[in-house]
Amino acid sequence: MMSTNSTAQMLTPGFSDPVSQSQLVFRRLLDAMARPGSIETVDLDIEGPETLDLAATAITLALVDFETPLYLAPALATPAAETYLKFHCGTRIITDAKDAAFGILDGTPEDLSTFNTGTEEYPELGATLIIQIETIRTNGPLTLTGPGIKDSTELGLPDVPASFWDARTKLQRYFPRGIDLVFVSGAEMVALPRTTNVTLQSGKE
Amino acid sequence: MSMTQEAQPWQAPEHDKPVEQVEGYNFAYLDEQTKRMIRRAILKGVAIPGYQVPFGSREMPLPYGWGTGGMQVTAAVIGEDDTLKVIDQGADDTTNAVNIRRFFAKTAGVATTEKTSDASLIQTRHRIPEKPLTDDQILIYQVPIPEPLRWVEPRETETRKMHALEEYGVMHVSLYESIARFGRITTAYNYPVQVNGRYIMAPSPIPKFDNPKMHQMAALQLFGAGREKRIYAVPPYTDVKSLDFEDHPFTIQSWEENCALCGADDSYLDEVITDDAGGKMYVCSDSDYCAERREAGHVGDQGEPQTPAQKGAAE
Ligand SMILES: [Zn+2]
Repeated sequence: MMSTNSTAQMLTPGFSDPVSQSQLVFRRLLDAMARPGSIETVDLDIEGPETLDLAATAITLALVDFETPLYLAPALATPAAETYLKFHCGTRIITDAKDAAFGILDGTPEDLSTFNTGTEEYPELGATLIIQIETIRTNGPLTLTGPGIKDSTELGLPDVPASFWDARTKLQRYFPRGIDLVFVSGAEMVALPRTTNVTLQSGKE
Repeated sequence: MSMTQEAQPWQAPEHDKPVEQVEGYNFAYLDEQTKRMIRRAILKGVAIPGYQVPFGSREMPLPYGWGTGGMQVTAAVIGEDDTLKVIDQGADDTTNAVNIRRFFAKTAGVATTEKTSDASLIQTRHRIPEKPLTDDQILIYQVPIPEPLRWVEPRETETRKMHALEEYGVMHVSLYESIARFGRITTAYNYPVQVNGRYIMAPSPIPKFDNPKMHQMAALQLFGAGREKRIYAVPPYTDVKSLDFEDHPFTIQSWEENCALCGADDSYLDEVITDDAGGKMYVCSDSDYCAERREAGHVGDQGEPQTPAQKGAAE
């Protein structure tokens, strides 16, 4: 399906209308980040790299540029994906997770602490991680509370192991330092900023 | 409507009509790289409620003091499907509000409105609408001075440390000194708040009457300071507490009068001089709220009942 003869043949288009589509993707992500647990859909047709979900490609096209180094998990970092993101975003693709402003991962990382959590004085330097998973659903077993959530809400991310939530909860002690997460599956996304408290209802995993 | 006319706040002016987007402008004026930078700052602001995110402010075609920070946030957020409302001191028809509304009608081609309930984005200077905002709305504040600790500590390096370490004692001492000297906290505008139990934040120069509306608001609140290049945010349904003391709890302004035009007893009132002899009356600062109440048949002491014919003419 994919020719590897030359860069030109590998390169598929980015946004067909960058101004309005960047705005649209940003607004979906803003809604997601402002209302953790709400599932937003990127309603766009983009022929991005095969290894990336549509929502991951769209967020990257909308927000990543030469000011924001991008980490790609090894499984996603095909030559086609690297060429596409370098060309359309003008970004540097880096292999040291610590320096990344954005990261795109296939599943949750073994060790969250390999990413930048910012500093006490500049907590906004903490990374934004786009994590590709299979399934996003609304009916638990995760209970979310925190800013952006009226009372509490339920979320189901069955591909995410319980150990990841434990590690994330430990990291939250260092607030305002932290990492902001966007889980994506196909065109869908759900955000968990560093302020969102996640509890796993026992026995329901 | 002329640009210089300061219409009386209770006269609902003709609704702005959508203007064709002007050729040669970038959509919403800013270039795409600048918008990306501002958008990233907004997202981090939402993720760290009440924290001031520095950003590279760009020149806007209006002088500072006209709300360039709020305009840059609006320009980064706004899309073709949005309906924009702009208020200044609660009114939609001041020169500042009219100019900003026209700016976005021209550069983004968006629809504008004066009705709070019809707006998806509301840019504001100095007020929060009286009508409760909804999940589908975003409120964008123009902020002149984003640093709430500035008046107790002028150095940016120090205030940044104080925020980082949550060292807010000096702020409380300063407020308490106001009580010791005047018997109360004298700050009536830009009254400091604490967001989600963590960052102390300047709510911009809204009257403290509006502070309680920020608490657990359904709408997302974004703040832009152009000169000092800061963006901050309060996500929906987030605790926003006005600083106070057990023996001196936070209170809001209240009036003995009701609105002279619509009779409201729950809205923020402006004193309006009515004649050379010093006659005055109190009217709602939120002109849309007042107009909507009058359209619904509410009449104040000095208001005239609206007949169905007048209602039709007003629309
Ligand atoms: Zn009134």
